[in-house]
Amino acid sequence: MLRDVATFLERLLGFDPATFDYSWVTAVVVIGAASLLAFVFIALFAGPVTWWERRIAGRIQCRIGPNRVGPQGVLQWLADGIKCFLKEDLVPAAADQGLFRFAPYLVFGGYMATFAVLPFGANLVAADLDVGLLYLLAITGLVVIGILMAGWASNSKWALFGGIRSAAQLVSYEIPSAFSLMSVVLAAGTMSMQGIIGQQGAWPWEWFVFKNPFLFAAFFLSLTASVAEGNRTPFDLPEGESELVAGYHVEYSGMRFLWFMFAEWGNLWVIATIATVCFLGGWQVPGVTPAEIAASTGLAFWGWQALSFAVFVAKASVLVAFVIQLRWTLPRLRVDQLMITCWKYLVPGALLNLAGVLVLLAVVPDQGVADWAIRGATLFLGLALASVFVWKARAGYLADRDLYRRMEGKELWYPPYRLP
Amino acid sequence: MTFTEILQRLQAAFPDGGVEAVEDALLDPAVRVRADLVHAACLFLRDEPDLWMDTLRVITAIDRPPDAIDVVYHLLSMRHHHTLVLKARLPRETPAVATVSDVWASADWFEREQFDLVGVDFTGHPDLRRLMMPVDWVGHPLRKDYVRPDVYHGIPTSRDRVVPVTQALPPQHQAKAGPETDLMLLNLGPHHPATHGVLNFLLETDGEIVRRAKPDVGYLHRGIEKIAEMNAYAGTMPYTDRVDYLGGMFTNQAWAMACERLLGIEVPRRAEFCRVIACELNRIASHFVGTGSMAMDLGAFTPFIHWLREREKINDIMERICGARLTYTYMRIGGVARDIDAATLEMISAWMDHFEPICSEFDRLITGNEIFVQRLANVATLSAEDAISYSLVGPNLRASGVKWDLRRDEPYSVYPELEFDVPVGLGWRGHVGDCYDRLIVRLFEIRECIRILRQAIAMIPDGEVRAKVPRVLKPAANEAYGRVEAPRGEAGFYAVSDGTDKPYRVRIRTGCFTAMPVIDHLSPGLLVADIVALIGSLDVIAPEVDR
Amino acid sequence: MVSAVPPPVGDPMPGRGTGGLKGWIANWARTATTVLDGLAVTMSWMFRRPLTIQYPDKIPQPVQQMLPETYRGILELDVRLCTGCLQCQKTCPIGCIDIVVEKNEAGGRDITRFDIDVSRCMYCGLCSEVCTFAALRHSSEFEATQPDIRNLNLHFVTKPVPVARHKPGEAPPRAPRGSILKDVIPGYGRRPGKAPDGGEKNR
Repeated sequence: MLRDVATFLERLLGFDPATFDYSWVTAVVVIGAASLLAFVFIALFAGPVTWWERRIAGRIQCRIGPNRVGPQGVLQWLADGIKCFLKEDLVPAAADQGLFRFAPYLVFGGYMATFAVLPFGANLVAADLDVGLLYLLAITGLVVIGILMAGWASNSKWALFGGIRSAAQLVSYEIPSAFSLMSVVLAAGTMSMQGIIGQQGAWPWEWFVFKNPFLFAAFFLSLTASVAEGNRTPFDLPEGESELVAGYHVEYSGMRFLWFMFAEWGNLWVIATIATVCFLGGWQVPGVTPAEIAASTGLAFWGWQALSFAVFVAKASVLVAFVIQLRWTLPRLRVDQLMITCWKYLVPGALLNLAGVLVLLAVVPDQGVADWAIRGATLFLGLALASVFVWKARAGYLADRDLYRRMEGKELWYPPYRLP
Repeated sequence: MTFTEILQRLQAAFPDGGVEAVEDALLDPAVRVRADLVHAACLFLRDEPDLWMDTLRVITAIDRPPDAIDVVYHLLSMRHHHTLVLKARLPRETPAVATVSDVWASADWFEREQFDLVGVDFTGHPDLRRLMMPVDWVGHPLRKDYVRPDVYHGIPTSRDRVVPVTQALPPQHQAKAGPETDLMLLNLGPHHPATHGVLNFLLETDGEIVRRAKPDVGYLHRGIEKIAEMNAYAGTMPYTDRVDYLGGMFTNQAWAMACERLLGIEVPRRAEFCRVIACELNRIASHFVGTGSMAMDLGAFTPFIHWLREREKINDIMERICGARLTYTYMRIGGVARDIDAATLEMISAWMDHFEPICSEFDRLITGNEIFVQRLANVATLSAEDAISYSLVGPNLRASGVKWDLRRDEPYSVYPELEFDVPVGLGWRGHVGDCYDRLIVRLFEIRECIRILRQAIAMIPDGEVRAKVPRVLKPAANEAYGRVEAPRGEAGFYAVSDGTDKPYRVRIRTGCFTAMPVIDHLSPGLLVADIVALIGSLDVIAPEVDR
Repeated sequence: MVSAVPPPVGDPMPGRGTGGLKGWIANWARTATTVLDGLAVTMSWMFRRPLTIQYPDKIPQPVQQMLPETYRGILELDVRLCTGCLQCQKTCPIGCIDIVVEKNEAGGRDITRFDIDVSRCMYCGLCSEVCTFAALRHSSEFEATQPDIRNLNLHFVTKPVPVARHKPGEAPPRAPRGSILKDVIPGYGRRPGKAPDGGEKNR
């Protein structure tokens, strides 16, 4: 009897303890450990940015923001995460049980998979694929499926609206995003993320963003399209809390809700990383070439790794802060305007831009006098834009300062807007 | 045109004796029309060029047991600046009168409400259903012999009457299998971030395109009209705050004005200025919430918070003026509760100095923003004719290009002495009467309020703030309509007295009530997101709709 | 007052109807500049200090002390001043004041019950207005959270108190604002304490 069972199992599984190949067990363990590591790494990126966003929002709205958990509230995201873990996981009775439960993981997985090719430092990249950029653009398609799945499976009309909106939005905005990134590919001659970084230098005038005016425009086009792909305001139509209540994740609670939030804030980093890598010179440390870093050994090697990582995080943080600020400044587009913005403005704009890049690349020889002249002019353009921005911000700020001075002698019953 | 002239015109048109003046010496002289002539008379009044009663202010049904129910129509001609009260007496057993909903579009909801609460049958009405009460409610609450049930589906109707909830709630609004359509039914509300309170809109959508948005109100119906009948004149004052929680001063003032007219009380001059100052501050605060929450509905959170920050300071001032931040109860019949002292006036001036740059900052932040403009411009455009027909009032009416402001056109209080403009919609970014105009009119009104406040603070005289008023108020049998220009348009109180210390009937006319059917009217073809913008631009306050 | 809103545009359908390359470029430019405007405003706010206070624990002084004298908080009765005239009870629109005045053995009158159901009170101030002797006044107290709503029926008289008899000018001074409520509100003062640093830290 027992022997029969063993024979049966042997036939079924082909299991023979002696000749069994254990390598797949090792593979599972290694993949599991790597995934856990990656998860922790992503959590450390996505988590604090929720706290950061709320602090920035607080400042913009003259509030304080979360400041109780940990010093200045930096651990707020942990508290929120634990809270979500402890919450009841509600699944609507009429929902499509399987899809409803699976959708958040698909969304999160799609987002997590992008981290495989993102270079966070000189050697801090999981897989430097030759088609890294293409992979990035392709893998985000998983997120669409997940969101659509969540919207459909919730069996709620609001969620369905959110899911459908999201599908239309993400698919449409892939195009301007791809077009504007294609101009970078043209300039770099490679799709590998490390390769794109290697083609740029550490100093601003060596970055692709200031290489020529068309690439400068491509930077903003790509950023806009990425923001739209990340469902951030002003393109947060799939969620649209004042129209669709919460859109595709309206029925989610507890941990499953957290996966969506995870993906959303993690996506901020993906947006920032793509822009940093493609336009802002990635992790390049001024004064050192990638070759020198690669050649270094021992402590120096690890030092360069840490330094390049810091440079990368600094650059990306500025972009993250910018996207956060956008969210707390702009109203939301309407669904038809969203499509108009994409198909009538961004797509033709990106196409024209691509043509411009092509022409300039063909006409102007690299590192020639003309090239440096164009780089200089573009850098000047960028600085001019920044100055206009600072000037405008300062004008509003000064208006209030003058006002405050005017009010100084008067007895006010509320604390005036103290200046920093 | 005077009342006598209008009466003569009417009698000439209906010579068979169906039209006569009401004999009692009423404060607002009224015409009594035989019930079967109401519709014809209304059409005549509306269409005669020199009468031109283009606006129906309110329809009131008054239960007069044992044998009669009066239906009262308050009419107004915006073109000729004259008003008329039209009355019809119906038998109490079979109270039926022809509908005027084909004469004025706003009559639709007024008639539904009076059918619901008093039980008047408006024959020919296209959709005579209960408006405020649940569909399965029994009886008409504003009838004098109405007895409140203790329990409604197992829910006790009062805190004192503790009834154990044993009975399961019956399925009430089960979806009926209607004709096969491709339309999707979508409930926007009652708990939806964009409905500003507990309101429901039943959307019939084709994808994102709305084919119709049917407003469903009554979730916040507290029966303030009924409560007022059970309370003394002065005791009704706190309830008027709750009619419109963002503009408590105005409902206060409208009620005070109605009672003062009934009692013939002269309000001291300083009290009038106190009222103006308090009201204009309140108007600014209300427009802060109106415009700010509109921006929030469109996804911009920050402007709302910035406006609320300024509103907090107005609340601080209000706290000093009247002791409360929201439910002011500041006005009294014959004056105001307490004087505004010099320190508070100084606070107001200081706040205004501080506020001016913030106003332009708000414009830079959101009003001029291209996304915001595109979301609002040319969305839900309402023509002036429709706006008048729907009895829209206040900024919503002015946004459609009609320059009608009670402060200017039917002056009350000390407003004739103050200099201010009435901003109207000019098609600032699109067509006249679109959502953007409704926003910008409010923003300009904030600036006009500042102008009025500065003048009022400079002009405020010394003196008493309260007339000598007997402790128990017993006005003789009469009726009066008191109205003010509230942030959401005309806030009117129609008070009917019968010689006792309690009003016989109180009818509240608010700006939001008439704004609701407009949503139904404008919704076809809009997107779901536009509905949100439309609700926001009309500045709908749910308790004001339901009262 | 300077307005940043430009006057009405002549074009009835700006942005939507404007076709052609010119409109296309104009839309790009308008969007870019107005978004920049908005970003500039929010950026300037990032450098200003927040205005909010951290109620209830990190504030320089209790909110009750910041409120003006006129504030209409929870009603408070100084029973030494009450003449038992019942005017407040008659005036209250909701009827949340419940007073019982009984004859005592000495032939005078005692107030045996003076209850105010604060959970129903709508803080309109009509009762304190009719109180000639300032016995009933609004305090600036507003924190009275209770585990049971019935606790909010405040009993200002626990044992019979003879009604006050004095002329308006000769009345004893009223107890300080808020001092009586301490004994009347169940569990009064069990609110979160002040911040150890006195609430100066507000960042």
